[in-house]
Amino acid sequence: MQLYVNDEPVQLEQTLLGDVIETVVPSEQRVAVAVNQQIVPRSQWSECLLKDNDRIDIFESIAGG
Amino acid sequence: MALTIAGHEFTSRLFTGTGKYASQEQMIASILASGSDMTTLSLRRMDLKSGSDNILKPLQQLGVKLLPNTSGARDAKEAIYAAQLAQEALETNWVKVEIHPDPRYLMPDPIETLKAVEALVRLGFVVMPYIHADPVLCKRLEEVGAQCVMPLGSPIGSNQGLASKPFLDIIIEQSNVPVIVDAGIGAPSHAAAALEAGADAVLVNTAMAVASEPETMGKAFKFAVEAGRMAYESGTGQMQQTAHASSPLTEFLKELS
Repeated sequence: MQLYVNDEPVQLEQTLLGDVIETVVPSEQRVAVAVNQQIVPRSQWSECLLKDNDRIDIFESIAGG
Repeated sequence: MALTIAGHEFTSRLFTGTGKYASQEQMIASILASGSDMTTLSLRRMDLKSGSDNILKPLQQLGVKLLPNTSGARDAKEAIYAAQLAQEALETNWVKVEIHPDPRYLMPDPIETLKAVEALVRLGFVVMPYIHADPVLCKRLEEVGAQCVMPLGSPIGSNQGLASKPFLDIIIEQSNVPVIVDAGIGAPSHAAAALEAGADAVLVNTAMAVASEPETMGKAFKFAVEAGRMAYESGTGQMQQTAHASSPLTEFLKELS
């Protein structure tokens, strides 16, 4: 399936958001995730079914003032 | 009396930021030395290739409260989105709203900020808005439920200190919510002056992060904020145009002539 993760095109077999996150994000990292600019709460990742061309945005905390 | 915002009691009146430090070790040492118990963070889209430096873990070990900001947001809509993402990533409903579309002076947009604060308060956020030192805007933010106001001393990272002092004084006089002077504080004396004037707290980042010795500078800010607050609570004297002798004038010398 064709997906876009932070604007990068990727081909992944996984169809559940939770599995995609597990593949691309280190397990200890706390992130926030949006699919097509809709925030998906962590509790719903495992049942969120992805479609072809979905755009996934993954956010992390960084230093800032 | 301790500073309380939205029911949370702080032990320190110095809030810090995590930006611009040369290393994570320096950042942790500086924040620890400062005694600050809340520090700000930003949110960015992850760089999946280079990975990340995982700033969260050491901050969590330090035990400070984390305050995500909406830096990068250009309008209310983006700020609300950033706040909600931060809530997911950091499991907090606290947010520092900063909306500055102009990258040269980073002046906060008052209209978009008011819109964002109103919406975020309705969504249950504890909102700390970064704004210009505008007394009218502060009252409007208070009316829509901002739990504090964060007027600037001078432009972000400029180290110019309390250029907005006359307006900060009005804000402090009128505010029913805590006033936290944010931005522009370049030296501990600026922080002390803000607290002396009755500000409830200050937020310092650049001045600590870019110091040659960030840890020692953190400590200097700790003392400055404590001294400023103590002076405020003790009541500083009025400024006078003329001299008023602190010693009795030496009348007996006249008798020599």
